[in-house]
Amino acid sequence: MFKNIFKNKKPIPDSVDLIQEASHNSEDTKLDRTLKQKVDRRNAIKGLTAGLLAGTGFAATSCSSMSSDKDKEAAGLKWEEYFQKNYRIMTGEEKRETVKRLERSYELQHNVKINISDTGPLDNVLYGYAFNISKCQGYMDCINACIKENNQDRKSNMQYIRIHEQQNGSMDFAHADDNYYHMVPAEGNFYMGTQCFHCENPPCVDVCPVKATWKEKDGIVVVDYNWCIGCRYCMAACPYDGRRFNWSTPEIPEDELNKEQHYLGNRPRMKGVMEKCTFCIQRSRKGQLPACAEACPTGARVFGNLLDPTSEIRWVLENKKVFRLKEDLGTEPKFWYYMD
Amino acid sequence: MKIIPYILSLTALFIIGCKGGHHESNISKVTKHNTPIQYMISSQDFIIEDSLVKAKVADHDIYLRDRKNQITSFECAKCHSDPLENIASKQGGKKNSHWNIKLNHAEIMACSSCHETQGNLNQLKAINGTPIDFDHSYQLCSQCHSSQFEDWKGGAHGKRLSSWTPPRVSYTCVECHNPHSPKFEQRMPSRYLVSDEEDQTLNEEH
Repeated sequence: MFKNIFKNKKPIPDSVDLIQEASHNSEDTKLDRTLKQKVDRRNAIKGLTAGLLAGTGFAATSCSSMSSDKDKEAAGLKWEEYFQKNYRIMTGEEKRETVKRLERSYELQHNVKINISDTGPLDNVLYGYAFNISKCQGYMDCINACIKENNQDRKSNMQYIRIHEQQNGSMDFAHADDNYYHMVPAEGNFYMGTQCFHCENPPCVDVCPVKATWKEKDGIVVVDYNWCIGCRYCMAACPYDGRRFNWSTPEIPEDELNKEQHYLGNRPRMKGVMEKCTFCIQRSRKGQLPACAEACPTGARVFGNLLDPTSEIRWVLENKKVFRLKEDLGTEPKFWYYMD
Repeated sequence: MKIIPYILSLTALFIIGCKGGHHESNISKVTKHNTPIQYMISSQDFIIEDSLVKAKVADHDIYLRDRKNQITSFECAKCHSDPLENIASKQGGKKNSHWNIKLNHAEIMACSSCHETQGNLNQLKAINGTPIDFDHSYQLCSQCHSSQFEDWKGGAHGKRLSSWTPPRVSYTCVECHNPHSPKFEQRMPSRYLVSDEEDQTLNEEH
């Protein structure tokens, strides 16, 4: 199936060019024009329906003398949320407004103040990741750190990272165990972590019918949760099982909520949207390591800038034996495995 | 004669088609990018330690947390005012301090393999007797573990502290490995999924 998809692909452009292109063409691509048209229509509908809405449930809430000011404000903010643009075509100001509205909306609903960032990509940075399969001991500390950092649903045991226990001398994901519970490392086994690989040529992005997922300039593949319609095409297209779906409204214990958030990262998700690893966009764009890399007690996780010739990730790529999963698909994951 | 332009254009198409089909992977181009990067952010924003030491290694700028401030009973000479032989003879073979240290690090090692036991006890010593500062204990480890040391210098072994941006602040050997028992222990994983059947079927993708 994937062969067909990739047969029709255009030649993959150079990544550095891609980066420059992205900054030049952001206004004029065909995609953006389409998106803009759509938004114009949405705005028109928004204007029309707002006028016609007297008498509907929403209007009843906002006009009723029974409901408090807070309820009215919350309903108003929710209303605006339905009509917000695709994050990718928002101007800087619109992004800031959106983020503020979402913060306020969350505060009204949960009585908790959160801080949502809209920090953009850093210049001359392309994130890459390397995983040492000789070092990973299968402790799974990374998974716990990831769940906490990224406010993942506790009820459905959502986890972006999986650690696969594999038998020495084989690499067979069908028979690998990613839910073991015994003393680790177990004799005769090695451990291999998978998560979103942030492909340079991501099939998940190609299949999204509403352009709710895309690759940022710094190489991180992100999802606009407000734009996602939950069709799960991306989940089916990902050859690496990197994407997760919210079958129900995510539940996070109040005292465990990470309040430092990013619009494209760990802000609370809704029911019916996709999510996945973002290389901890809320941390990495500030300069911090992703939570998994920081939590790993064995140093099996290396994260850094692929464009920086002095970075450790570059040293690993140039000096160690590295491989990626399903390289023949041409997806170009920015996630390498290496061994001592 | 009329057929020649067709043949020519077909050949041209074939050549163009081939060129379009074979391209160098864009990632391999990226990883040849050799211009130094100027960063607007710095790892120092996340590292609150006030005393970092620069590792004495060639070709790499690596900063480490100062070690001597973290050792609880440093300086050793505060207790060890007498030479070790004198203390040993008084104790009659019994261990009164450092009783909790069990050496589980290669078979032939003894305290004196790494620690200075005569003269200045506040420092470590290399195989050839050269004193080594506690802050630079990686020099000691690298005498035997040379391949690990190469990997550590490059960044394939060990890990960064908090941030991926320069300047590089890394953990030193003994922050992850107990030097007296350096092997990582077996233990239970830190989580186990017990999902109910309904969730299981929903999340099973194939």
